[in-house]
Amino acid sequence: MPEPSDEHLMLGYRDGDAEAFATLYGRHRGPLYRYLLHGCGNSAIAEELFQDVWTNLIRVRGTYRVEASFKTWLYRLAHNRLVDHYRRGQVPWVDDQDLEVVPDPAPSQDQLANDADCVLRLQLALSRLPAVQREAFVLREEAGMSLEAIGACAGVGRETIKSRLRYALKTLRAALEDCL
Amino acid sequence: MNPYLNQSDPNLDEPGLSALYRQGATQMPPAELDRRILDQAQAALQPQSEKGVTPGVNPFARGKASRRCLPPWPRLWDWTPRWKWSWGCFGIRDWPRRWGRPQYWHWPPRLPPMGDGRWTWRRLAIPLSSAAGILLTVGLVLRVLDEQSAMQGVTGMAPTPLADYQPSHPSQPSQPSRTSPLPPPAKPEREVVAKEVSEEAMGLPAAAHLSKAPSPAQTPAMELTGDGAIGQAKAQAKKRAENQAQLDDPLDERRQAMPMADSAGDRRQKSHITDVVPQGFGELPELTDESYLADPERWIEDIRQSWSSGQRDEAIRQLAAFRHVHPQYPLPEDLAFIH
Repeated sequence: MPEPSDEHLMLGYRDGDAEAFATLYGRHRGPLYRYLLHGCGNSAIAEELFQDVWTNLIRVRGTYRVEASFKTWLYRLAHNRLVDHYRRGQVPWVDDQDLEVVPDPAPSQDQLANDADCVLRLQLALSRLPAVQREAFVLREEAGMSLEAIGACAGVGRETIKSRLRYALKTLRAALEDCL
Repeated sequence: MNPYLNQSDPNLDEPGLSALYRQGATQMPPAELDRRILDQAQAALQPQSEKGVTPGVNPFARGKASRRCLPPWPRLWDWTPRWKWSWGCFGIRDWPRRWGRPQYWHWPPRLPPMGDGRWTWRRLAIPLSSAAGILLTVGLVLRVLDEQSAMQGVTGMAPTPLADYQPSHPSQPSQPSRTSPLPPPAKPEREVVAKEVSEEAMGLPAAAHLSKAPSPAQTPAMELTGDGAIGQAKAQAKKRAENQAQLDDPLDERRQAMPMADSAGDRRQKSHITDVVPQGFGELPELTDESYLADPERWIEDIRQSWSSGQRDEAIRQLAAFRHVHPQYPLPEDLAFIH
């Protein structure tokens, strides 16, 4: 028997099925948490944002309609919460104007020597990406979303996401050249 | 390999990076946070009655639920921010519950908090409606006061009371108005009009105050009734009735009855004319000419000549007299605008 889709589970929870929510939560708790963690860079803040996103989902469950993918809807809520967090903290959310800005150069040789593990080097390089590029990369890796779905989450077009993703991959390849 | 990746663009496909990322993607939310969120989701599904909240109408409900409160009964949650704990209606339908459950309404109604867009306009509704009501009330009161002051201004310009009325020459016999010098017309025209208006409102003839010299027919009546206001009013009314009766007569009959020579009858007729024509206009010698009564066209022509020759005051006075003598005569267009 095939597993029910996210949309069916969300509709079931909207109609009062608590088990459907548990299943839905188990599917998306890890990717969503890591998306928020990469977005804010702090585990405590990520936990707070994580809870806020799920609380918001519970609150607006009655308005859910199967108009798009549940994943797109969920990460759209998370994106909005993340942007709201940056606005409240007076931390500028990097917009499209920073696309042309060349990110920080690759870590120095001393840092590379210390971060021998390629995974850690990837985490370090990822944290130095512009926020919008990092968001595009993480959404693609964690949620496995298409370019259109990522654009729908971020509120931009497909080509914009494609450009952001290309810049991010170019930077990460340059930073992890010896690991690939 | 992620099946959602766009394989058409090799620049967006990096399997090595994806593998490295998945190796490091081990962060998970704490179990306590998971339990809290799951409990929250479970609690959200419980009905409100199990959570210790008084059941009421969902303020965001649609359809039948929103029509539960029939007019004119308002919903309590319209007036209190604690709508969750209040009943949906404040009406007969909720009457039994009203006696058994506590009330959460109060006066004056509490304003809902700002920040929620749904409540913003309701928060402004009471002040705005109050301000509008005050403005309307003040405007209405000012308008009433203005009208009252205007009425008082008209009645305040009324002439001296009839009780204080004294003819300027009580012992002077009736003379044609051309021979009786009138006091200089110092009063402005507006005041004269106001007097006429006020006296017309009192039922008195408009020209009564202008004829300072009483006519012979008027004097005995005044003597009989004394100088009191009632006697004067009766005399004026009697005189006005007589004048009106004379005006109603055909002009030809009066013309035939009037002698042509300058005799005592002529003087009597002249005095009769001065009764017809307001005494205030008696300083114009033409007004005593009996031909004006029989030939209003000639009178109009003279008025027109006076107006064109620059004697506009005279023309105005003559025209007023003409209108008084011939109220039904249609004025020509070139004189119709003269007031």
